[in-house]
Amino acid sequence: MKGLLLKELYILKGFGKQYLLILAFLLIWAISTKSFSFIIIYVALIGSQIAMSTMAADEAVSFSRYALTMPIDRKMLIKTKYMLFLGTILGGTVVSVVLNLLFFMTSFGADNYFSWEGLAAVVCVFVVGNSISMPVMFKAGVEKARYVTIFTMLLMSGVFVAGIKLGGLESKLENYSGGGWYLLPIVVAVLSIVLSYFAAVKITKNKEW
Amino acid sequence: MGAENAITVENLTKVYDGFVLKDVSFKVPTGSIVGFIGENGAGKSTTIKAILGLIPVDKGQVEVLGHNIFIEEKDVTWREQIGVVFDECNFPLGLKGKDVQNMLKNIYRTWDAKKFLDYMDRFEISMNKKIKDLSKGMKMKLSIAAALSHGSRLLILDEATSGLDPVVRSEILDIFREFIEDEQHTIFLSSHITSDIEKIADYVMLIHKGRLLFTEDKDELLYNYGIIRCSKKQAERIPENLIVGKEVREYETSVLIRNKSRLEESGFFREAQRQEGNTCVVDRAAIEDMLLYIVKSNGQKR
Repeated sequence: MKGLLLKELYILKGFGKQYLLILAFLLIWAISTKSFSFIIIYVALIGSQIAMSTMAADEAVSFSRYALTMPIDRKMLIKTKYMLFLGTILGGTVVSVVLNLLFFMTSFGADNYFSWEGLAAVVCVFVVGNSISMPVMFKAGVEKARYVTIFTMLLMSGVFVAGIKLGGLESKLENYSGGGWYLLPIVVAVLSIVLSYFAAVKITKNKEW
Repeated sequence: MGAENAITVENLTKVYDGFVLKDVSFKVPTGSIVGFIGENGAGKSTTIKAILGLIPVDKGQVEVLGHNIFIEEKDVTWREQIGVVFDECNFPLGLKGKDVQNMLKNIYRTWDAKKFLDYMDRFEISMNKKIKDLSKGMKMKLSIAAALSHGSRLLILDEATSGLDPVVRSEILDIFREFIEDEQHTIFLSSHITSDIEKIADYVMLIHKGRLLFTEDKDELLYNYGIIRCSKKQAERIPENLIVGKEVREYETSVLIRNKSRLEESGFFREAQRQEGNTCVVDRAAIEDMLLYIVKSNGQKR
């Protein structure tokens, strides 16, 4: 797995400049509007999309087909992408938290709002979205998987908004005094990623590489 | 270690919409170079993908270096002994030679860094250049260097020399000849560039429309097969069982036959000369001719 992860990092190195430029743009935007909470969403989104971007680089040269002629089995190939996904979304989340804390401690962040619950919810949406699209990515390719990700996230956001508007979700959450409800999205995220891995292994059993 | 056959394929069948690879069976003897020829879409790549376990098949068995390829094994380290090169370089384009080296040395326990560097030197490929900046020939050489740097016993090459100029192809064929000097090494090489196969193969396999038409010793093939150039009337006297393919033109008929000696024994030449004078010529048949005649005759007459 180390060799495959190294390959992912080398590909990532190539994308590095683009990501730094996007981050710089987001920071300028955040400072000028004095609003930083949206950075959570963007940085976590970028983190969640890295595995797909490296998969696109693999697809361009049929790397997976080649890798399976090496002493690497299908499960290892899939596991590596999931490890990368977890690593990058975790990395994106940490960057979000650090940036928000930095802003919070400075005068830039006077109007800033940060909540662990919000962070957990955002990360959960991305993890669940990618959990659904990653098996599609292995089976049908990155392009279709990206549509599935967007569709899933729109659907989840729609359900969330409908819950707030129609079901009074917001007031229920505000009145909830038990604390720590962010644990729920974490549990959902972990469950979805585990199920996703097994689904990816299963649906690629008869894939033509 | 020293199995008699590096690859054994039995009744391999794969059905696609519009194409069927039908009951393909063959053996690749250890220590040999087997050339696998056929026109585009004949089934070469499908066969190779099946051999490598990259596609599910409808029927058949494939054994590579003594391992049944369709049984998912937990331990796949034996694949270190196989070097594979496809028709394109499969390393992500943003990687450099040194990245490929670092990646592969963490995948293959048998990775020989010195050998890889030697090949890179020999091929004049910079370790610091990104793959996307290499020419097609350089990319293929990089793939071949990688395939030869982890103690492979079996090289499987799918159109690895296609799209390369004759100089690069010749250089690559030299490398293959060096590789095969070890009698435990085997090469299974598919190509539609029949001249490459003619230069290095010990055996030739021809596939057409998903059916394996023959597997023959290359020298015997070149010795036995011939092209008879004669009149249409003379061509009609050639025994049907010797005809592989026929091309009829207004003033000349060319017939690819599978056994020149047997044709001579049949008295065909004497009879042809008696009837129409010395107008019948026997030419050497190159592997390309065999492929062309068979494809043109649609593989019906063998």
